[in-house]
Amino acid sequence: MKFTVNGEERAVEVAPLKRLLDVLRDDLGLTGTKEGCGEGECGACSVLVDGELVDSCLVPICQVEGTQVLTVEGIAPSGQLTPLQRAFVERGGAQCGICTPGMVVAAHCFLASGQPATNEAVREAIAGNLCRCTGYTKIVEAIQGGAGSAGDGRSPKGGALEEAARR
Amino acid sequence: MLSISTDIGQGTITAFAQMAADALGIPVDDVDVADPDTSRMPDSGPTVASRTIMVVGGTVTKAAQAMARILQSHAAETLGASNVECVNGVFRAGGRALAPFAAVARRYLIERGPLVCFEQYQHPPGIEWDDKAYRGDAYPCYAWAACAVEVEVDLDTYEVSLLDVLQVADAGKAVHPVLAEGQVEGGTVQALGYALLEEHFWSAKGQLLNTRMQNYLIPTALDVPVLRTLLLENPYPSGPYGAKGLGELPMDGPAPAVAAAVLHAIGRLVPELPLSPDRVMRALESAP
Amino acid sequence: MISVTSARSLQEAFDVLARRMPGLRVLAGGTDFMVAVNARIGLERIGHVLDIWRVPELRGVTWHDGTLRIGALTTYTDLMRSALIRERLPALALVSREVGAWAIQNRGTIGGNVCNASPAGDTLPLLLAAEARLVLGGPRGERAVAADQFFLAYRKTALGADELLLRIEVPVSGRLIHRKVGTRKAQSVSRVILAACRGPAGVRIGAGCVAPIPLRCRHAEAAAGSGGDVRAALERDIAPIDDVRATALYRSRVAGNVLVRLLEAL
Repeated sequence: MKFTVNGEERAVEVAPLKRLLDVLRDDLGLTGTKEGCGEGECGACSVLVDGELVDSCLVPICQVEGTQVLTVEGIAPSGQLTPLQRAFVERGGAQCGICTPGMVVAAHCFLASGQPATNEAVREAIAGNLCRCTGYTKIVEAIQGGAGSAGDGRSPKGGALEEAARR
Repeated sequence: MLSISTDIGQGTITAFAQMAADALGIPVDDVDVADPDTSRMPDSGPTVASRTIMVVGGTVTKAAQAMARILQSHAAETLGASNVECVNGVFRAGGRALAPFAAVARRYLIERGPLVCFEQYQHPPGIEWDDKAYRGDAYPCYAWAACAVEVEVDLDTYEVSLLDVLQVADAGKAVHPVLAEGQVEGGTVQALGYALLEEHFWSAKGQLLNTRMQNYLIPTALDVPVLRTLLLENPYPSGPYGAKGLGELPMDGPAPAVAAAVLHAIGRLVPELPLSPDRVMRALESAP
Repeated sequence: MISVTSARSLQEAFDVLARRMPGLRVLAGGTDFMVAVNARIGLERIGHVLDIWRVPELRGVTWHDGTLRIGALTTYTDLMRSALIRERLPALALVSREVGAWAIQNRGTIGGNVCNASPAGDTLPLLLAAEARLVLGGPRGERAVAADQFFLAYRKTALGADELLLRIEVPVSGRLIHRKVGTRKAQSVSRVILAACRGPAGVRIGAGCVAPIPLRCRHAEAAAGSGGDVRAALERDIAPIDDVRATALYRSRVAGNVLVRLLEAL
């Protein structure tokens, strides 16, 4: 199965139902992505597939062929941090760190969507990333502080629904 | 810096480095806090009981202060100066820079051998604890917090929503304010989870029924509002820089605060945690 | 190792179905299937997996003659982004926003929600209230089944062993609203979920988490139409149970409260 990870073409020969999470960690040595629950509840395994946020513990590798995968390792070139990641460090957005890779990937995806980084919008974007240590306040502040960190202008998701709901 | 206190994200490494660096007069990045290793480090006690900064950090500070005094006196001798102190990594006297810390330390190492300062925690005077009989004053001081919450109760679904949460914590001295706030905020949300979401369900045979993230529910980012945290500093004279324990403190207030807020909202006390919608409903439907 | 066929076309999928392999399971976005695989539940009963994620004929939302046609592989994110859904059936976009969180919404499909047939399925009360038709297809051809004829018993549907859900057809008439009462504000399974639609033929009510299947509440519909006691009528439609998420009493009380509000709003 061939697919691109962090801009690099990779190929693996594994069972088709092997989880993308396990392929990333065990076959490709990219251990930044974590397993928190194995059931799509906690988001520690979040990665982007073709720009969309997914829980890699729920994605079978047979469905990844030909896609572009972005993991936390691919968010910044090695040894550097993006403004978002620096904001996490400086504002106390990470304590034990187990949720952090997934949070950073989810935040990166949110910032790329171009939506205004309001408290509500940021929390909705990371609602699938559970954290037990920080209480979320500093994570939200870090994401709001890291706005301008990633932006390719993909269309926002939530905004027009409020209008639709009024019909 | 050698101790077996374990950093699991609460900031032990940073705080210890700060305290040692402050005592030695060197930049914080010049302190290496070694990974805990019980084969070669003294028993600093477990990382529990909100004791790490106050007890172990206090001991770190004393050890670093002892090291600073020895090096100061060595520097004074070898550099022929008096009233020597190390500021930002440079030994100075009389307004002049004399030598960098590294140079002084290296000279000490060559002339006197390794410098190891070993400190052991002592209860402050007046606090007596008998570990064998397990009697006395186990705690030399207390930390204090107050928590206020504003809630909304939906009378159709009996769901309790958190509108506003404020926690004020006095831990004597916030060695690192951002990390201290982090402890308060994290503990607050965990306690709010206890207040509203988290519950164990047991089978008749005593087996836990909800063992998965899907059915043991902790708060998501949408379940809690922006937390407001205030740190008060009422220094504890026997604590390092006035610090007291903080880690467990924020857990105490939020759940009672939520129960009190719900009582204020609906006029009924829900006497059991979590304040699930089911329990709120039954409280509302029971006789006042 | 479980064998998988990743179909690239509907015909290829039908060819697999025609072989009537024992223990055949269909895999779409994986948000239900992979949870069971990860928990190692029922693995020994899986004979072969038909992966339909790349079947193009199953995607897309179109409008045809007053009817929305929603491909089975339409994800919750697709539903939220679809201008057609937001204009014609906004409740479906709104409930999609309440499923899981972003990562689940990107992979979970409406077809999966329907075929998984959980009594707590979030789109199901809406489809019932909207009187949707489920179009099933396979090597033997296509057929449409009304949503209220599709859910037969607990997690058991009218889908044949050699059939796939192809699309959902929703005749749009009237106004459809819903309320999901979940266990928390995201990543939550419903405790109670109701949808109500007021159209030219009257009020239609769909409910979840109050019976072994998602269902139409016909007594409540009749009471709503005749100005009767909707709560009492609803009690005759539902049979809630106690479980880890809620008690039967809670479900019954809250379903009544929510229904009254929905009807007030319609």
